[in-house]
Amino acid sequence: MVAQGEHPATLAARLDRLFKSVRPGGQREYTYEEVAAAIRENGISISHTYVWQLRKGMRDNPTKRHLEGLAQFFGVPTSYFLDDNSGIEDQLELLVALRDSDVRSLALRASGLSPASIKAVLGMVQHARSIEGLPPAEDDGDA
Amino acid sequence: MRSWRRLRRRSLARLAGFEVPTPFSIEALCAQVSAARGRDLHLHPLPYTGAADLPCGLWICTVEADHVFHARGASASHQQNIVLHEIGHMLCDHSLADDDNGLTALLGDLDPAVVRRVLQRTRYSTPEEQEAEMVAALIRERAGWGTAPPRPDGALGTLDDVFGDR
Repeated sequence: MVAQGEHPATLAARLDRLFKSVRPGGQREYTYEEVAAAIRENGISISHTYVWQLRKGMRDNPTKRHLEGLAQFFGVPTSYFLDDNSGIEDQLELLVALRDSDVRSLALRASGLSPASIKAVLGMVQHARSIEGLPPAEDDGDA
Repeated sequence: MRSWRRLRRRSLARLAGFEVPTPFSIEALCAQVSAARGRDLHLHPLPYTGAADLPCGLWICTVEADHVFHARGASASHQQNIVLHEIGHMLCDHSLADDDNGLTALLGDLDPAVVRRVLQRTRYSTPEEQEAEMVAALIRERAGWGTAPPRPDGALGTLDDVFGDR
């Protein structure tokens, strides 16, 4: 389990973060079967059991193709699994905040922001929520 | 030039039925917009972060209320123009559904299709910023500000008949 604001270090923790952040329609998580089936459609051989084992940390030997398939499914660069990617973590956190805060719209004039600015926008979304007397957005759906 | 006229015409239609308050002030306009939308409108100064690329204005629309964040320390007229631009977004009813400007700036490393799926958006991409700016310009015109900065004495000029060229 990775708390809000911390960056998961292991493959299992990063995959866990993706399952929790990237939920279709902001509802339930994708199932292991859905993930594996979608990756197989791209010609990469993978089983739902193996995806589950990777997330639980029981296996940590995926091939490059497996990582590419998982990254593509969850919409992140493959390097997310390999490098220190705090910038992508910030974006996932903001995506979750936008989803959980029921932000309908957000507009700004910018063509790409630094991690510091992305953190600032995350703070503004949270501030907007607190002004409205609603609880701050949760990082994941465990509660 | 033709596309500018089309933009202006579309923006005029967006403003149809919206009364620009007289005497004009940003506060009165915000109250008017809030009443027209039937929801609270909060103005906040942008937090100071030291990040050079933080935009000077940001509109966040939640299910409950509208929030406009504007740069601090900008001149009064610059600050007003920032707020006007964000109000332009509101009056155009821009939503994440048809605006990818904010999202791609914020979530540029994530696959837009995946972002859409998470936020349950189906459409993506139109020149929202231009439209917001045009609506802001039209409000300035109706307020008698023209394209010039607001008058320091707050006096209003003659109202242009901005609906005249339909």
